[in-house]
Amino acid sequence: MLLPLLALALEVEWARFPELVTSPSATAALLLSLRTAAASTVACALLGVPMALVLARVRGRALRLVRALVLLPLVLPPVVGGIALLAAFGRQGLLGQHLELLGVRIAFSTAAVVLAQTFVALPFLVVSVEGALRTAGRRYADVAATLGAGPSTVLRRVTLPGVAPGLAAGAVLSFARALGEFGATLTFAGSREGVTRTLPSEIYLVRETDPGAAVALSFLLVLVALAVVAGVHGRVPGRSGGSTGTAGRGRVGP
Amino acid sequence: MSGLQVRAEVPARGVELDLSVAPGEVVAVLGPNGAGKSTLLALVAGLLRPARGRVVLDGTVLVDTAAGVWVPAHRRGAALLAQEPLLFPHLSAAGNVAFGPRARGAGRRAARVEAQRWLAAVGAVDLAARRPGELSGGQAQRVALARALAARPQLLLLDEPLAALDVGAAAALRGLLRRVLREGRPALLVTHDPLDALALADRALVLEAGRVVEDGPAREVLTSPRTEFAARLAGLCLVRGRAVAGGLELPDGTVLGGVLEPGCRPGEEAVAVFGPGAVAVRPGGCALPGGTVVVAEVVELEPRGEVVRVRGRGAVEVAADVPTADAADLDLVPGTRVGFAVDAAAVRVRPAR
Repeated sequence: MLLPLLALALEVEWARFPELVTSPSATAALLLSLRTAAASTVACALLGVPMALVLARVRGRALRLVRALVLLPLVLPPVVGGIALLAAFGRQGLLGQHLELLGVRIAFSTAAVVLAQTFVALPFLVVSVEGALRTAGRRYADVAATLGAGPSTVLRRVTLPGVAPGLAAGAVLSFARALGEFGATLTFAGSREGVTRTLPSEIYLVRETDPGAAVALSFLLVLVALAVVAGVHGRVPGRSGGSTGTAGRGRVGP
Repeated sequence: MSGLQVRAEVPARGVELDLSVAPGEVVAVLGPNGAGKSTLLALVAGLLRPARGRVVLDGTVLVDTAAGVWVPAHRRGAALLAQEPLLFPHLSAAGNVAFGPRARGAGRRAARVEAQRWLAAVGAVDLAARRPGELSGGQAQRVALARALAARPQLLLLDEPLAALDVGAAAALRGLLRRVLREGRPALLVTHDPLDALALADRALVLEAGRVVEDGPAREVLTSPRTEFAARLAGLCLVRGRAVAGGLELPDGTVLGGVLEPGCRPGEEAVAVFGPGAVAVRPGGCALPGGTVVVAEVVELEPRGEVVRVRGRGAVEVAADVPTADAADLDLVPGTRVGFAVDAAAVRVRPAR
């Protein structure tokens, strides 16, 4: 696991590193990546929490099929996801052609990046939140009901706060998955600088012309990923807001 | 009609119950595991729908399958206190207690005042700011009781509230429950402990295989049991047979000498009840004058301080308390066949139902 990362760290031309990672195109790509990944995470939470509630609470055979469909992006090659999204939201797509008439064009826009990232990252959030809901079980909700709380109060004051740690873990995983998204994004959103060219696309592109820059940007992405992982381990088990964020980064030093 | 009336069938769990609780009455529900005790609480709380049945609390119909009536759990006024406190982990003790008042629509400030009042009632004011994770089992159950009471329930449903606590904490909470229940709150108390039933309840029900098999004042059910389960709880022997003049005829034809209680007529189905203290173990099988010897195989030996309780199984199940020294002399081991001599004067025979 560590060997490729170590090799990458050794490959980095440290003298050029600051200059490479602060170049206008690199900065634009990093900011776009962070912005779209954050937006995708919010979208995942908005879509995923209700999905997880249904999956954890409703019983029935049809639900197995629904769960399989929700989890499909986990096992689907991202490029296939991108083509599927294009078929749905592209200019001649199933929904896309109607949206086109309304003057809304999604494909090859920043919205497409967010959509592609949400598509691949959603299962991570659903799985985390559903797991948390199943672990908590119905017992707290039942007790709350016997104390006089109606279903919406139970949801707002008991169930959702109860899954907050699971939601946080799921959000971090979704964010990380969205940040690394490449295949679906490139297929569905393309690679326009500042609009749809995320950091992974930028790395892929500059590799052709300047391998050194690609290595430096890759390492930048490793740092961001490590910060995210450290965030998960610092927050979730203790739930008291740990300080592992810096410890995680400290370990990376060459 | 006030109080609680329950008539419900849940075929999936083999449950068919018919019982009532008078206003202000505390009813202990005893019974072996799987007898339907928790099902009863779930039916009343509104967490389980019966296939057929009717539940009425203080004149309000909560469930009537024939008329299609179903009142959801949160509109029933029946608060549940389970074996585990189940305090909401993201709220402080005070926040947990304020939950009921808030759910009822009380403002933040009013709910906080009420929470303080109930925490004071259970002696847990100093725990108000703590998180559930920072409370001991006994403290958490105290807070959970305050939370249940703060919801101002018309009926308290207690599902073995003391079972998970150590002896000291259980005793303290038992005292607290006694005080709270004395204030005229009707309650259903599921328990395994005869002490709880005697200390807290007015009446005791024994459930077996989903049916009410005994129903009477708690003291009477536990001192004059009519079922094996209640007898075991009370530490008594109970054997079934047919009443005859001077005792009880066992299935194998032996007559166990005993005293027929008033109202028990020879010829009817009856039970004989006696304490293990009235039974002696005779290796030779010779009877005492005025006693009966039941031959049985020793199945279990249970040391109880100065005596050893010897359980035997023959045509019927019997137990004897043998002084520890004698038990050693008799060389009793499981599998030995011995005579259990039962003192007829200590055997009470009464109708089976």
